[in-house]
Amino acid sequence: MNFVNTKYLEYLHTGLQYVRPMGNSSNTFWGHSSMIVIYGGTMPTASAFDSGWASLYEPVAGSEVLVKYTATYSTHNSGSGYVYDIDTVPTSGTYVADGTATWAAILPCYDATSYVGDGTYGAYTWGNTSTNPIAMLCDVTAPSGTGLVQLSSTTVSSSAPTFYTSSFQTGV
Amino acid sequence: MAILRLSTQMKKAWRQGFMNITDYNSTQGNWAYNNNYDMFITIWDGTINDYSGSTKLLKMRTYGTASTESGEELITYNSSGTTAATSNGTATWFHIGVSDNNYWAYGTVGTDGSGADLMIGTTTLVNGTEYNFSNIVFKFPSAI
Repeated sequence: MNFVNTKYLEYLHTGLQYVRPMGNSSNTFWGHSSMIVIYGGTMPTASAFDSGWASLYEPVAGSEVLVKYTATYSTHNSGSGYVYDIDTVPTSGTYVADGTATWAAILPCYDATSYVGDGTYGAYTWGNTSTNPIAMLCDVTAPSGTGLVQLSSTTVSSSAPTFYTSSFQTGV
Repeated sequence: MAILRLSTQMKKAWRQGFMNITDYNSTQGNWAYNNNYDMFITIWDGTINDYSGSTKLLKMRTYGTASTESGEELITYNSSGTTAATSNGTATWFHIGVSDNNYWAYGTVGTDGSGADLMIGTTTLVNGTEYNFSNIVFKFPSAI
């Protein structure tokens, strides 16, 4: 099957809009703040992220968390696809542990206080480490690199590095 | 190229959002708001992706079903009931979309075993005869 790129990306974009970050149709990914959690080591596969969520990656209790930020993504059409980036860069983060930042999880549902998800697949509740998260994983670099999340420095030592930018684009 | 890897739950949620706008009338779930786009599969006689030079043989609404298979998130498109062909001709290609010149996916049509994107028992469609389709499967990407 072949795709008409412009229409396919439009529907992919609209599909992301219709995801309910808070179990509420009035909230969209780019209209609601996300938590951006920074980790060290190798980015896990999606299934490894799920299975390691409770002990390793959950920002509430995960052992691999280095730093946490919150920010809101906005979107625009670049002409070749939809770009999602941060208009207001977070001015501070929450330091958790020392390490070298290598990858991040973008969590649109970080402050969900009510049921999110579908019982068919298993509900997701923030802070409940027995459920799987709604997350997008990406690489982290310094501004000289190409990470979808960029920090002023990938060295985390005693405090949260200055957040530089985050941007990604859907494509085919 | 940088990768945005989707967790299992994120992929399910986004897949549901995508399905809700690429079929006729998905059931609104907690994952994603439903938007009732009126989507069709249209079968043509002619050169692929040349709708203006092709003859429209059959147009049917698409209904999506979400599923998970071996860790992959799938959307399976089917017709609901049968629809009569509107012209005689040889089915050679199809598209899925809102209208004749507004579609998001297209492919070849052939008989069973042909390896075409959409395989049917016979490619000779007869005006007035009722047809249906099933099992056009779209695999949602694991990384964007």
